[in-house]
Amino acid sequence: MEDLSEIKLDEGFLSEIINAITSGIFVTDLENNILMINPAGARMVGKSPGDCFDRKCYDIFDTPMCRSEQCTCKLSTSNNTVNHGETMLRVDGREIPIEFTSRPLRNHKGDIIGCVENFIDISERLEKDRIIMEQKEGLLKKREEDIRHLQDEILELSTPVIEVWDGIVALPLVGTLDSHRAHIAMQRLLESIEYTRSSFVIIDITGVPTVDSEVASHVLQTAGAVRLMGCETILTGVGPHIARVISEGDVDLDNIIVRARMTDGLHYAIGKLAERKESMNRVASLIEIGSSQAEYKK
Amino acid sequence: MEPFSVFSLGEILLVSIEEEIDDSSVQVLLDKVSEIVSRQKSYGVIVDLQNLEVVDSFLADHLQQLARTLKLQDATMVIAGLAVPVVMILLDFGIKLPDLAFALDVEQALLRLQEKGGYKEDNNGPLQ
Repeated sequence: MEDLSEIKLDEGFLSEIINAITSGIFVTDLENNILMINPAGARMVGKSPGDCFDRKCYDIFDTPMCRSEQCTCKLSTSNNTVNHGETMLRVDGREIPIEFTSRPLRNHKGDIIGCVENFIDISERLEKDRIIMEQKEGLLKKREEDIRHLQDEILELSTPVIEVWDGIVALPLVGTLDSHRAHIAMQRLLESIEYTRSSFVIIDITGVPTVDSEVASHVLQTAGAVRLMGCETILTGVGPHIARVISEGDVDLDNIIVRARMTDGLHYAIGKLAERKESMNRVASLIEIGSSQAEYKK
Repeated sequence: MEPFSVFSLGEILLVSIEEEIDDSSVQVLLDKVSEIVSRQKSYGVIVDLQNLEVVDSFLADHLQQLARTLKLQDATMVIAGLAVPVVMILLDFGIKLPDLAFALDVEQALLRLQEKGGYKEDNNGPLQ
Protein backbone atom coordinates (compact mmCIF):
# COMPACT_ATOMS: atom_id res chain seq x y z
CA MET A 1 0.00 0.00 0.00
CA GLU A 2 1.30 3.37 -0.94
CA ASP A 3 1.53 6.32 1.41
CA LEU A 4 -1.62 8.45 1.44
CA SER A 5 0.14 11.54 0.10
CA GLU A 6 1.20 9.62 -2.99
CA ILE A 7 -2.28 8.68 -3.97
CA LYS A 8 -3.58 10.66 -6.89
CA LEU A 9 -7.15 11.75 -6.67
CA ASP A 10 -8.16 9.86 -9.73
CA GLU A 11 -11.64 8.62 -10.53
CA GLY A 12 -11.09 5.12 -9.22
CA PHE A 13 -9.90 6.31 -5.86
CA LEU A 14 -12.84 8.74 -5.48
CA SER A 15 -15.30 5.96 -6.13
CA GLU A 16 -13.45 3.87 -3.54
CA ILE A 17 -14.05 6.63 -1.01
CA ILE A 18 -17.73 6.89 -1.94
CA ASN A 19 -18.10 3.13 -1.60
CA ALA A 20 -16.50 3.27 1.86
CA ILE A 21 -18.89 5.93 3.21
CA THR A 22 -21.58 4.51 5.50
CA SER A 23 -24.32 6.94 4.46
CA GLY A 24 -26.15 6.30 1.22
CA ILE A 25 -25.24 8.30 -1.88
CA PHE A 26 -26.75 8.08 -5.34
CA VAL A 27 -26.74 10.10 -8.54
CA THR A 28 -29.66 10.38 -10.93
CA ASP A 29 -30.06 11.99 -14.32
CA LEU A 30 -32.93 14.38 -15.11
CA GLU A 31 -35.21 11.40 -15.91
CA ASN A 32 -34.78 9.89 -12.41
CA ASN A 33 -32.57 7.03 -13.69
CA ILE A 34 -29.97 5.96 -11.16
CA LEU A 35 -26.54 6.45 -12.71
CA MET A 36 -24.51 5.53 -9.66
CA ILE A 37 -25.17 4.30 -6.14
CA ASN A 38 -22.84 3.32 -3.30
CA PRO A 39 -23.17 -0.06 -1.51
CA ALA A 40 -24.35 1.53 1.77
CA GLY A 41 -27.26 3.21 -0.03
CA ALA A 42 -28.26 0.01 -1.81
CA ARG A 43 -27.95 -2.01 1.40
CA MET A 44 -30.41 0.24 3.13
CA VAL A 45 -33.13 -0.97 0.78
CA GLY A 46 -31.82 -4.54 0.84
CA LYS A 47 -30.27 -4.51 -2.64
CA SER A 48 -26.82 -4.45 -4.22
CA PRO A 49 -25.59 -1.51 -6.34
CA GLY A 50 -25.95 -3.69 -9.46
CA ASP A 51 -29.69 -4.21 -8.78
CA CYS A 52 -30.27 -0.48 -8.63
CA PHE A 53 -28.25 0.62 -11.60
CA ASP A 54 -30.21 2.17 -14.48
CA ARG A 55 -33.55 1.84 -12.65
CA LYS A 56 -35.86 4.68 -11.70
CA CYS A 57 -35.02 6.04 -8.25
CA TYR A 58 -38.68 5.98 -7.20
CA ASP A 59 -38.81 2.23 -7.89
CA ILE A 60 -35.89 1.58 -5.57
CA PHE A 61 -36.55 4.18 -2.91
CA ASP A 62 -40.19 4.36 -2.00
CA THR A 63 -40.96 7.47 0.05
CA PRO A 64 -44.16 9.54 0.47
CA MET A 65 -42.68 12.36 -1.63
CA CYS A 66 -41.73 10.22 -4.65
CA ARG A 67 -43.71 10.62 -7.86
CA SER A 68 -45.11 13.92 -6.60
CA GLU A 69 -44.39 17.61 -6.87
CA GLN A 70 -42.41 17.22 -3.66
CA CYS A 71 -39.74 15.01 -5.32
CA THR A 72 -36.52 16.36 -3.91
CA CYS A 73 -34.53 15.68 -7.13
CA LYS A 74 -37.02 17.57 -9.18
CA LEU A 75 -37.05 20.46 -6.70
CA SER A 76 -33.30 20.86 -6.53
CA THR A 77 -32.71 20.46 -10.30
CA SER A 78 -35.49 22.79 -11.38
CA ASN A 79 -34.85 25.45 -8.73
CA ASN A 80 -31.09 24.97 -8.56
CA THR A 81 -31.21 24.66 -4.78
CA VAL A 82 -29.93 22.41 -2.05
CA ASN A 83 -32.75 20.49 -0.39
CA HIS A 84 -32.73 19.09 3.15
CA GLY A 85 -35.40 17.09 4.83
CA GLU A 86 -36.60 14.05 6.69
CA THR A 87 -38.88 11.37 5.34
CA MET A 88 -39.83 7.71 5.62
CA LEU A 89 -38.28 5.04 3.47
CA ARG A 90 -40.57 2.06 2.88
CA VAL A 91 -38.67 -1.22 2.61
CA ASP A 92 -40.46 -4.59 2.65
CA GLY A 93 -43.35 -3.15 4.65
CA ARG A 94 -41.02 -1.56 7.19
CA GLU A 95 -40.57 2.14 7.54
CA ILE A 96 -37.10 3.59 8.08
CA PRO A 97 -36.85 7.26 9.01
CA ILE A 98 -34.14 9.00 6.97
CA GLU A 99 -32.61 12.41 6.67
CA PHE A 100 -31.65 13.41 3.13
CA THR A 101 -29.85 16.15 1.22
CA SER A 102 -30.06 16.64 -2.53
CA ARG A 103 -28.13 19.03 -4.69
CA PRO A 104 -28.05 19.58 -8.45
CA LEU A 105 -25.18 18.02 -10.43
CA ARG A 106 -23.55 20.10 -13.17
CA ASN A 107 -21.28 19.26 -16.09
CA HIS A 108 -18.11 21.22 -16.81
CA LYS A 109 -20.13 23.81 -18.77
CA GLY A 110 -22.30 24.50 -15.72
CA ASP A 111 -25.54 22.98 -17.02
CA ILE A 112 -27.58 20.94 -14.59
CA ILE A 113 -27.49 17.36 -15.75
CA GLY A 114 -28.70 15.47 -12.73
CA CYS A 115 -28.99 15.27 -8.99
CA VAL A 116 -26.82 13.95 -6.16
CA GLU A 117 -28.62 12.69 -3.11
CA ASN A 118 -27.21 11.48 0.15
CA PHE A 119 -29.20 10.08 3.05
CA ILE A 120 -28.69 8.49 6.44
CA ASP A 121 -30.79 6.23 8.61
CA ILE A 122 -31.94 8.27 11.64
CA SER A 123 -34.09 5.66 13.37
CA GLU A 124 -31.58 5.27 16.20
CA ARG A 125 -31.40 8.98 16.69
CA LEU A 126 -35.17 9.29 16.75
CA GLU A 127 -35.38 6.44 19.22
CA LYS A 128 -32.89 8.20 21.48
CA ASP A 129 -34.81 11.45 21.14
CA ARG A 130 -37.97 9.65 22.06
CA ILE A 131 -36.39 8.14 25.17
CA ILE A 132 -35.01 11.51 26.22
CA MET A 133 -38.42 13.10 25.72
CA GLU A 134 -40.06 10.36 27.75
CA GLN A 135 -37.61 10.81 30.58
CA LYS A 136 -38.09 14.54 30.46
CA GLU A 137 -41.86 14.18 30.59
CA GLY A 138 -41.56 11.73 33.46
CA LEU A 139 -39.42 14.15 35.41
CA LEU A 140 -41.77 17.05 34.71
CA LYS A 141 -44.74 14.97 35.76
CA LYS A 142 -43.05 13.97 38.97
CA ARG A 143 -42.15 17.55 39.71
CA GLU A 144 -45.70 18.70 39.08
CA GLU A 145 -46.95 16.00 41.42
CA ASP A 146 -44.49 17.08 44.08
CA ILE A 147 -45.56 20.68 43.73
CA ARG A 148 -49.23 19.76 43.92
CA HIS A 149 -48.53 17.67 46.98
CA LEU A 150 -46.72 20.55 48.63
CA GLN A 151 -49.54 22.93 47.76
CA ASP A 152 -52.01 20.57 49.41
CA GLU A 153 -49.78 20.41 52.46
CA ILE A 154 -49.64 24.18 52.64
CA LEU A 155 -53.42 24.38 52.33
CA GLU A 156 -53.75 21.90 55.18
CA LEU A 157 -51.36 23.88 57.30
CA SER A 158 -52.54 27.34 56.56
CA THR A 159 -56.28 27.24 57.16
CA PRO A 160 -56.85 25.99 60.69
CA VAL A 161 -60.12 26.79 62.41
CA ILE A 162 -59.57 27.22 66.14
CA GLU A 163 -62.15 27.09 68.91
CA VAL A 164 -61.07 29.99 71.10
CA TRP A 165 -64.07 30.05 73.43
CA ASP A 166 -67.34 28.22 73.87
CA GLY A 167 -69.34 29.35 70.89
CA ILE A 168 -66.50 31.30 69.26
CA VAL A 169 -64.25 29.99 66.49
CA ALA A 170 -61.30 31.86 64.99
CA LEU A 171 -59.86 31.65 61.51
CA PRO A 172 -56.41 33.22 61.45
CA LEU A 173 -55.41 33.69 57.83
CA VAL A 174 -51.70 33.63 57.01
CA GLY A 175 -50.00 34.33 53.69
CA THR A 176 -51.55 35.14 50.36
CA LEU A 177 -55.12 34.16 49.68
CA ASP A 178 -56.13 32.89 46.27
CA SER A 179 -59.63 31.85 45.39
CA HIS A 180 -58.85 28.15 45.81
CA ARG A 181 -57.53 28.65 49.33
CA ALA A 182 -60.33 31.02 50.20
CA HIS A 183 -62.86 28.43 49.08
CA ILE A 184 -61.31 25.69 51.17
CA ALA A 185 -61.03 27.97 54.20
CA MET A 186 -64.67 28.91 53.82
CA GLN A 187 -65.83 25.31 53.64
CA ARG A 188 -63.79 24.35 56.71
CA LEU A 189 -65.11 27.31 58.61
CA LEU A 190 -68.73 26.48 57.82
CA GLU A 191 -68.22 22.85 58.77
CA SER A 192 -66.66 23.76 62.08
CA ILE A 193 -69.47 26.23 62.82
CA GLU A 194 -71.94 23.42 62.25
CA TYR A 195 -69.88 21.05 64.38
CA THR A 196 -69.12 23.38 67.30
CA ARG A 197 -72.49 25.19 67.23
CA SER A 198 -70.68 28.51 67.44
CA SER A 199 -72.38 31.89 67.26
CA PHE A 200 -69.30 33.98 66.47
CA VAL A 201 -66.48 33.73 63.96
CA ILE A 202 -63.36 35.83 64.24
CA ILE A 203 -61.48 36.13 60.95
CA ASP A 204 -58.04 37.53 61.70
CA ILE A 205 -56.01 38.79 58.75
CA THR A 206 -52.97 40.11 60.61
CA GLY A 207 -50.88 37.53 58.76
CA VAL A 208 -52.06 38.53 55.30
CA PRO A 209 -49.46 40.90 53.84
CA THR A 210 -51.46 42.42 51.00
CA VAL A 211 -54.94 42.10 49.73
CA ASP A 212 -56.36 42.82 46.30
CA SER A 213 -60.01 43.46 45.65
CA GLU A 214 -60.49 39.80 44.72
CA VAL A 215 -59.24 38.60 48.08
CA ALA A 216 -61.30 41.23 49.85
CA SER A 217 -64.37 39.93 48.08
CA HIS A 218 -63.45 36.38 49.17
CA VAL A 219 -63.34 37.47 52.80
CA LEU A 220 -66.66 39.25 52.44
CA GLN A 221 -68.15 36.25 50.69
CA THR A 222 -67.06 34.10 53.60
CA ALA A 223 -68.75 36.55 55.94
CA GLY A 224 -71.90 36.20 53.82
CA ALA A 225 -71.75 32.42 54.12
CA VAL A 226 -71.22 32.66 57.85
CA ARG A 227 -74.32 34.83 58.10
CA LEU A 228 -76.39 32.18 56.33
CA MET A 229 -75.32 29.74 59.03
CA GLY A 230 -76.78 32.10 61.62
CA CYS A 231 -73.42 33.22 62.88
CA GLU A 232 -71.77 36.62 63.17
CA THR A 233 -68.42 37.51 61.62
CA ILE A 234 -65.88 39.69 63.35
CA LEU A 235 -63.01 40.84 61.14
CA THR A 236 -59.81 41.73 62.98
CA GLY A 237 -56.22 42.62 62.20
CA VAL A 238 -56.92 44.82 59.18
CA GLY A 239 -53.74 46.75 58.48
CA PRO A 240 -53.68 50.26 56.98
CA HIS A 241 -52.85 49.01 53.49
CA ILE A 242 -55.63 46.44 53.43
CA ALA A 243 -58.06 48.96 54.91
CA ARG A 244 -57.29 51.28 51.99
CA VAL A 245 -57.84 48.54 49.43
CA ILE A 246 -61.14 47.46 50.95
CA SER A 247 -62.43 51.02 51.29
CA GLU A 248 -61.50 51.91 47.72
CA GLY A 249 -63.45 49.00 46.25
CA ASP A 250 -67.19 49.23 46.50
CA VAL A 251 -67.74 46.41 48.95
CA ASP A 252 -70.52 46.39 51.43
CA LEU A 253 -69.44 45.82 55.01
CA ASP A 254 -72.94 45.67 56.42
CA ASN A 255 -72.86 42.19 57.84
CA ILE A 256 -69.35 42.40 59.23
CA ILE A 257 -68.26 43.69 62.60
CA VAL A 258 -64.72 45.05 62.48
CA ARG A 259 -62.44 45.24 65.50
CA ALA A 260 -58.83 46.34 65.55
CA ARG A 261 -57.16 43.38 67.22
CA MET A 262 -58.20 39.81 67.74
CA THR A 263 -58.35 40.57 71.48
CA ASP A 264 -60.98 43.24 70.85
CA GLY A 265 -62.94 40.85 68.68
CA LEU A 266 -62.85 38.22 71.39
CA HIS A 267 -63.98 40.78 74.01
CA TYR A 268 -66.89 41.77 71.85
CA ALA A 269 -67.97 38.20 71.17
CA ILE A 270 -67.67 37.09 74.80
CA GLY A 271 -69.65 40.14 75.90
CA LYS A 272 -72.40 39.36 73.42
CA LEU A 273 -72.51 35.73 74.49
CA ALA A 274 -72.81 36.78 78.14
CA GLU A 275 -75.69 39.12 77.23
CA ARG A 276 -77.48 36.32 75.46
CA LYS A 277 -76.99 33.95 78.34
CA GLU A 278 -78.40 36.51 80.70
CA SER A 279 -81.48 37.08 78.59
CA MET A 280 -81.94 33.33 78.35
CA ASN A 281 -81.72 33.00 82.12
CA ARG A 282 -84.25 35.75 82.44
CA VAL A 283 -86.63 33.92 80.14
CA ALA A 284 -86.01 30.64 81.97
CA SER A 285 -86.80 32.21 85.36
CA LEU A 286 -89.94 33.77 83.94
CA ILE A 287 -90.99 30.39 82.62
CA GLU A 288 -90.41 28.96 86.08
CA ILE A 289 -92.56 31.68 87.63
CA GLY A 290 -95.17 31.09 84.96
CA SER A 291 -95.30 27.35 85.56
CA SER A 292 -95.43 27.73 89.36
CA GLN A 293 -98.28 30.18 88.95
CA ALA A 294 -100.03 27.65 86.76
CA GLU A 295 -99.55 24.99 89.43
CA TYR A 296 -100.84 27.39 92.05
CA LYS A 297 -103.97 27.97 89.99
CA LYS A 298 -104.63 24.23 89.96
CA MET B 1 -100.67 16.69 52.49
CA GLU B 2 -98.58 19.78 52.22
CA PRO B 3 -94.79 19.47 52.20
CA PHE B 4 -94.45 21.74 55.22
CA SER B 5 -95.78 21.90 58.78
CA VAL B 6 -96.58 24.90 60.97
CA PHE B 7 -96.39 24.62 64.75
CA SER B 8 -97.50 27.35 67.07
CA LEU B 9 -95.30 27.89 70.13
CA GLY B 10 -97.20 30.59 71.91
CA GLU B 11 -96.46 33.78 70.02
CA ILE B 12 -93.78 32.18 67.96
CA LEU B 13 -94.53 30.19 64.83
CA LEU B 14 -92.30 27.30 63.79
CA VAL B 15 -92.45 26.39 60.11
CA SER B 16 -90.69 23.22 59.07
CA ILE B 17 -90.17 22.62 55.37
CA GLU B 18 -89.85 19.09 53.98
CA GLU B 19 -87.08 17.86 51.75
CA GLU B 20 -88.89 18.65 48.51
CA ILE B 21 -91.22 21.57 48.23
CA ASP B 22 -92.69 22.50 44.87
CA ASP B 23 -93.28 26.03 43.70
CA SER B 24 -97.05 26.06 44.17
CA SER B 25 -96.69 24.82 47.75
CA VAL B 26 -94.32 27.71 48.43
CA GLN B 27 -97.13 30.10 47.51
CA VAL B 28 -99.54 28.24 49.81
CA LEU B 29 -96.94 28.42 52.58
CA LEU B 30 -96.60 32.18 52.23
CA ASP B 31 -100.33 32.78 52.42
CA LYS B 32 -100.83 30.42 55.32
CA VAL B 33 -97.98 31.73 57.46
CA SER B 34 -98.96 35.33 56.88
CA GLU B 35 -102.55 34.54 57.81
CA ILE B 36 -101.67 32.65 61.00
CA VAL B 37 -99.30 35.41 62.10
CA SER B 38 -102.07 37.95 61.71
CA ARG B 39 -104.62 35.77 63.54
CA GLN B 40 -102.41 34.71 66.43
CA LYS B 41 -100.50 37.97 66.73
CA SER B 42 -97.19 36.11 66.57
CA TYR B 43 -94.11 38.27 66.89
CA GLY B 44 -91.65 35.74 65.50
CA VAL B 45 -91.52 33.09 62.80
CA ILE B 46 -88.82 30.44 62.60
CA VAL B 47 -88.45 28.71 59.26
CA ASP B 48 -86.55 25.47 59.74
CA LEU B 49 -84.74 24.41 56.56
CA GLN B 50 -82.57 21.62 57.95
CA ASN B 51 -84.30 18.98 55.82
CA LEU B 52 -83.62 20.82 52.60
CA GLU B 53 -80.82 19.71 50.33
CA VAL B 54 -80.97 22.70 48.04
CA VAL B 55 -82.49 26.17 48.15
CA ASP B 56 -83.21 27.40 44.64
CA SER B 57 -83.66 31.02 43.64
CA PHE B 58 -87.45 30.67 43.57
CA LEU B 59 -87.63 29.53 47.17
CA ALA B 60 -85.01 32.12 48.15
CA ASP B 61 -87.01 34.95 46.56
CA HIS B 62 -90.22 33.83 48.21
CA LEU B 63 -88.61 33.47 51.61
CA GLN B 64 -87.35 37.03 51.26
CA GLN B 65 -90.79 38.15 50.26
CA LEU B 66 -92.27 36.39 53.29
CA ALA B 67 -89.73 38.11 55.56
CA ARG B 68 -90.73 41.52 54.18
CA THR B 69 -94.42 40.70 54.51
CA LEU B 70 -93.98 39.60 58.11
CA LYS B 71 -92.02 42.74 58.89
CA LEU B 72 -95.06 44.77 57.86
CA GLN B 73 -97.10 42.62 60.23
CA ASP B 74 -94.66 43.48 63.06
CA ALA B 75 -93.14 40.01 63.15
CA THR B 76 -89.55 38.88 62.73
CA MET B 77 -88.59 35.90 60.62
CA VAL B 78 -85.48 33.78 61.26
CA ILE B 79 -84.19 31.02 58.98
CA ALA B 80 -82.73 28.09 60.90
CA GLY B 81 -80.66 25.03 60.09
CA LEU B 82 -79.10 25.74 56.70
CA ALA B 83 -76.60 22.94 56.04
CA VAL B 84 -73.07 23.63 54.79
CA PRO B 85 -73.66 22.23 51.26
CA VAL B 86 -76.79 24.35 50.92
CA VAL B 87 -74.83 27.45 51.93
CA MET B 88 -72.06 26.64 49.46
CA ILE B 89 -74.59 26.26 46.64
CA LEU B 90 -76.30 29.53 47.55
CA LEU B 91 -72.93 31.29 47.39
CA ASP B 92 -72.00 29.65 44.10
CA PHE B 93 -75.25 30.89 42.59
CA GLY B 94 -74.65 34.34 44.09
CA ILE B 95 -77.91 34.27 46.06
CA LYS B 96 -77.40 36.80 48.85
CA LEU B 97 -80.67 36.84 50.85
CA PRO B 98 -80.15 40.34 52.34
CA ASP B 99 -83.59 40.58 53.98
CA LEU B 100 -83.32 37.40 56.02
CA ALA B 101 -81.97 36.68 59.48
CA PHE B 102 -80.32 33.35 60.17
CA ALA B 103 -79.71 31.02 63.08
CA LEU B 104 -77.78 27.80 63.39
CA ASP B 105 -80.76 25.80 64.61
CA VAL B 106 -84.25 26.25 66.04
CA GLU B 107 -82.93 26.70 69.58
CA GLN B 108 -80.64 29.55 68.57
CA ALA B 109 -83.44 31.05 66.50
CA LEU B 110 -85.70 31.13 69.56
CA LEU B 111 -82.94 32.87 71.50
CA ARG B 112 -82.46 35.35 68.74
CA LEU B 113 -86.14 36.22 68.58
CA GLN B 114 -86.26 36.79 72.31
CA GLU B 115 -83.14 38.95 72.09
CA LYS B 116 -84.70 41.06 69.37
CA GLY B 117 -87.24 42.40 71.86
CA GLY B 118 -90.20 40.50 70.59
CA TYR B 119 -90.45 39.32 74.14
CA LYS B 120 -92.91 41.45 76.04
CA GLU B 121 -92.60 41.45 79.79
CA ASP B 122 -96.07 42.82 80.43
CA ASN B 123 -97.86 39.72 79.18
CA ASN B 124 -95.61 37.22 80.93
CA GLY B 125 -93.61 36.03 77.96
CA PRO B 126 -94.16 34.06 74.85
CA LEU B 127 -94.14 30.61 76.36
CA GLN B 128 -96.89 31.13 78.86
